[in-house]
Amino acid sequence: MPFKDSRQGPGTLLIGTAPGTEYGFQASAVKLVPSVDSTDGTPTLAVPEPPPQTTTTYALEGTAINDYTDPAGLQRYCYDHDGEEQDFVWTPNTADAAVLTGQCTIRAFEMGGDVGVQVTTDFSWPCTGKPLWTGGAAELAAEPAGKRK
Amino acid sequence: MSVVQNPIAAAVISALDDLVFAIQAAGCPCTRNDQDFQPPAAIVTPPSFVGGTLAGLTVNVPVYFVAPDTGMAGWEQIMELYGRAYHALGSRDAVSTLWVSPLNPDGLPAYLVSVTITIEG
Repeated sequence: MPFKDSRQGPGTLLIGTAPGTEYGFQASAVKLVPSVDSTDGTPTLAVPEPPPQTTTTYALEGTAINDYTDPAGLQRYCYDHDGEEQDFVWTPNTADAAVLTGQCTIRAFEMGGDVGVQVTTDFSWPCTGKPLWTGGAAELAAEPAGKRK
Repeated sequence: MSVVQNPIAAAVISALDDLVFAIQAAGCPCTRNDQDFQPPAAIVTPPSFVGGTLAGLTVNVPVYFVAPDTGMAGWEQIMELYGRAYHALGSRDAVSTLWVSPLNPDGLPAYLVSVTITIEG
């Protein structure tokens, strides 16, 4: 397998009902963050040492440049739709086929900060279920080995 | 005549021009061409590319407010100009320094302000 160094940008981040609104120009970082919750299984007579029960949840996280002066901006959108489940489509790099689609719960994020400088704020939007990963590496991995280029 | 054809370069040039216009609109003479630069005035100089967003890029633009000479009157002139442009710049940090160019190799007193701009691209 040849070495690959995937880097973001230029890409897109669409939020809301399809086709969604593009906010990629506000986001200085975007990432899908899996979190694993693991609890011990209950030993039984038949299985005295059961494997742990694990579940993985996902969140769309990142960093955005404050744009609270724009009534159509990302910050105002998140404030108005705080707690609502919305569709998202994240394309890390438009030159590549990898696209993540799914639903996430929008959370308002911090507004303001230091005076006289560009302010960035982290956001974290928990996903509903597991986002769908199409194209890019996932599509390649799903192909039979003989079809790989 | 500009040699710029690439859309990213054109977007940066356009942002620099917007910055020049904003400073001029605040009442401070400003240019980004050192050939027609006449202190006391501000000059917008070539930016550094410092990162970006998913669909854009961020540049830091050094802006110099340059005095015509080394006397106190020159400093007061550029304090006046910086005061006028203060809100247009969106930056509160101004460092006293020297502005050096091929036309002024010994340098002239100046305030340096670094302006961060993110451009959709």
